[in-house]
Amino acid sequence: MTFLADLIQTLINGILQGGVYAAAAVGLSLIFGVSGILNAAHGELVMLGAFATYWLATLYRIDPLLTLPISFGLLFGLGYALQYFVLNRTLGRPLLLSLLVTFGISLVLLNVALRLWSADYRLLRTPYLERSFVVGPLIVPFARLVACVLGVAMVAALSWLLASTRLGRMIRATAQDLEMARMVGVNPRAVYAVTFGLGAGVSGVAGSLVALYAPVEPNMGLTYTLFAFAVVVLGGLGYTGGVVWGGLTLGVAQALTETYLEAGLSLLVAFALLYLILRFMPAGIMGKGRLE
Amino acid sequence: MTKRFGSLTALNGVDFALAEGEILGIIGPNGAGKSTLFNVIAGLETPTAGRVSYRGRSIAGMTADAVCRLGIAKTFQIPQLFPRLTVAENVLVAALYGGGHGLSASWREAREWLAFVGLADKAEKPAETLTVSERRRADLARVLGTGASLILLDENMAGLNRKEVEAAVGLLRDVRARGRTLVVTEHIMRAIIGLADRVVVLNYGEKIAEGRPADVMRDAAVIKAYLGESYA
Amino acid sequence: MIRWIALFALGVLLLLPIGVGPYPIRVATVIFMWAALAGSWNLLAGYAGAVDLGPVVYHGIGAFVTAALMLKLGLPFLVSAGLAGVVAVAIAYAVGTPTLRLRGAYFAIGTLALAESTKQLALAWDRLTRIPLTGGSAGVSLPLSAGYVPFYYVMLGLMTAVTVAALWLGGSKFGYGLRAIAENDRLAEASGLDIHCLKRRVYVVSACVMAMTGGTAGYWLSYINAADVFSASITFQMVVMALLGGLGTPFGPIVGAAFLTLVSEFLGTRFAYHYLIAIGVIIVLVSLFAPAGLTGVLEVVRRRREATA
Repeated sequence: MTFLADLIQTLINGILQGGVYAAAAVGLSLIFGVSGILNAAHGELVMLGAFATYWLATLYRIDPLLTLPISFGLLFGLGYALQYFVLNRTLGRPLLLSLLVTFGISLVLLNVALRLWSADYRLLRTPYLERSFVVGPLIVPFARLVACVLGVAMVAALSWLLASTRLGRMIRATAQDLEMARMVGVNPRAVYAVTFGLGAGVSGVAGSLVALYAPVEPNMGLTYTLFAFAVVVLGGLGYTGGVVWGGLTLGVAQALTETYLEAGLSLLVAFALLYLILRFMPAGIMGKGRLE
Repeated sequence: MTKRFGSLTALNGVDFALAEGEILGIIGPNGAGKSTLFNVIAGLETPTAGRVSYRGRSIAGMTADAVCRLGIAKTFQIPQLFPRLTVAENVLVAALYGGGHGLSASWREAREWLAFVGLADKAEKPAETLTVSERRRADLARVLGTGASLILLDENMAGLNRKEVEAAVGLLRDVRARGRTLVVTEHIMRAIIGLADRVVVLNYGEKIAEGRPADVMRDAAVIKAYLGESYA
Repeated sequence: MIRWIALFALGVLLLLPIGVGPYPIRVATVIFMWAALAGSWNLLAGYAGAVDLGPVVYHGIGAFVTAALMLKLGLPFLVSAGLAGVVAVAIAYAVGTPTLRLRGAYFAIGTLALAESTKQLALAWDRLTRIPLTGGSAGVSLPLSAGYVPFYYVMLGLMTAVTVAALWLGGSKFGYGLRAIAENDRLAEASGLDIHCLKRRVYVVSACVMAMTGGTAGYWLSYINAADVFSASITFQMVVMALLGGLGTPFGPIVGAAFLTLVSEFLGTRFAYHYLIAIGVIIVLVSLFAPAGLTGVLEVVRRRREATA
């Protein structure tokens, strides 16, 4: 009986974490799918969103959930500016270039954060989020549930935006055929900037969600960059909807490792999974990803 | 050979033989499977079913580089190059690896073939500075540099004007005179008629006619494929 | 012409410890180490165009294998470091064969995943396998080494080996092959190059040098730790130095290593964050506006001089 309970609890943990992973990865997927830029600074954007929520809630006593749109706005602005002034110059040039430039940006963001806030871990305490639902032997922490639900909702909202709004169509058109998009009047520089802004914004919100239940610290960025890569590759590079599958797979795989193997190996499992998928199923689990 | 991409059958049991030293033309409307055919022969794709034999050896499933070293090379519909290498170096690489020569022999080969296609004056320029028609000639020089005995030309004359086409046809006749076998696909009928000893016609992945150019042009099935029922 | 200057410089470097004090020699050793690391990375990334984001894996393997051979089998340092290189070659061959089939972004991410996995594995190794090898998060202490001069020469040797390899690539058949792969790998394949085989050769040689460098660095510091020797920041610094100096040039890595090492010495540990912020900005600016790096700038200056002469 307890084996089943443990298993279900593990799956629940995995799914809750997976939802947040999906949210934390969708920005990377969007940016790569549209501009072909592999954003090495992705994790730092997540980290900045997490800190935005932490400081707004701690210094100004704003309810953490209300900080989500602010976090989005701040990161959107940062992302837009980065693309418009810096990254637009890397378009049409080899992958290494955008990888290096975003890597340079990540170094700057990380070390500015370290300079400002030091490497201390900070945990946001929000009383009403610290409850848990208890169903028999199963425990569902409220904060994690909220984070997961909001994360998945955000991915869904982004998908809706891309599929059904005029802006979304412009973005998809630019991604699919730049020449044609130009000919129908789309301004690619603006589209790429908006795309990066959107990607950064959702990444920031994902970071804010993480801040709801976990401690935040400037170095967390690298881990999230790697996790996001794993999620995106698992789900299929360039296929935005796939991040949900990728996130769930990664979340569950890690939860299983933590319960049945040992906690320290969860990172190893994540990266080993990433490597295996890259090698043997490069189009992702659902087979819909873009191949080089 | 047969080649399927998922539910799309690009080639369906296309079967023909090639004699050494001949020039074979492959024609057919767009989408007939001509490029796929070339890709399968050159090792860039693997046939779903069937055989590809070269000089008695089965080559289906060999990697593209092995096929090239064996003596089969293909030009590209959209000419490919090594952009920042010089034009001479582009052909050099082919001679070094495709032809398997040493460094000095390969340099000689490279310069010789560049002169042959008329690009000797561009030898030291970066390949990316070439115009489209120059790129096609460079692609041909590259293929010749590999020392291939069987050369597949994928619409190598597309976009050329009348005079340029005539020059290209003359060049290719020269290539055959040097002992190479050519398979040429073109939409420019004048070129095919002037060049090919034999023609194979593809439509929707199937061979619908084969024979001498003049005969094939008059074949009802071929006319129907190109122009529709009413012209047959 | 350049070669004579380089040969002369090498001569000077060989004789340097005679007249110069310990501090400059130590700084020089650090420069040589980074030049060797950046130079090996440069072979695959600069010449063959394959961006490996996990080269630190072999640095770490080299460190631990060297330590294990010295501590468990009592082998002398040079033998241990050399054998570490051999082990790295074997591992690189096995790992490179599947990994090098990945291209572009996939190869970059895949190698990064490999490096991070290995770091986690190394941290957990002793606990999991009960074979004491890596010391987990506590690390491994090596026997104390006497003096700093031997390390100077070993690192100088590694740097020279890598630079000679890069120079040789300049006009050789193998070098042209690599450049063709970097420019257009599909075309290279269609022109008869076995791209997988060529890339693997470079990958393996690179791994060997990095392992020997890692082993030497470990012995020099007398202490290695999985989190440090497999750290992604080592990869980052290698990449920056190669890029800054000039990707795909034989002396670029040396220039980049010298520049950044001196900058960091100058700023000292007080300005650690500023140093890294400055590095980040430099990377962005160099990548965008001077992708040929410092040696590229020197080239331009040299050509202008020749044109006006």
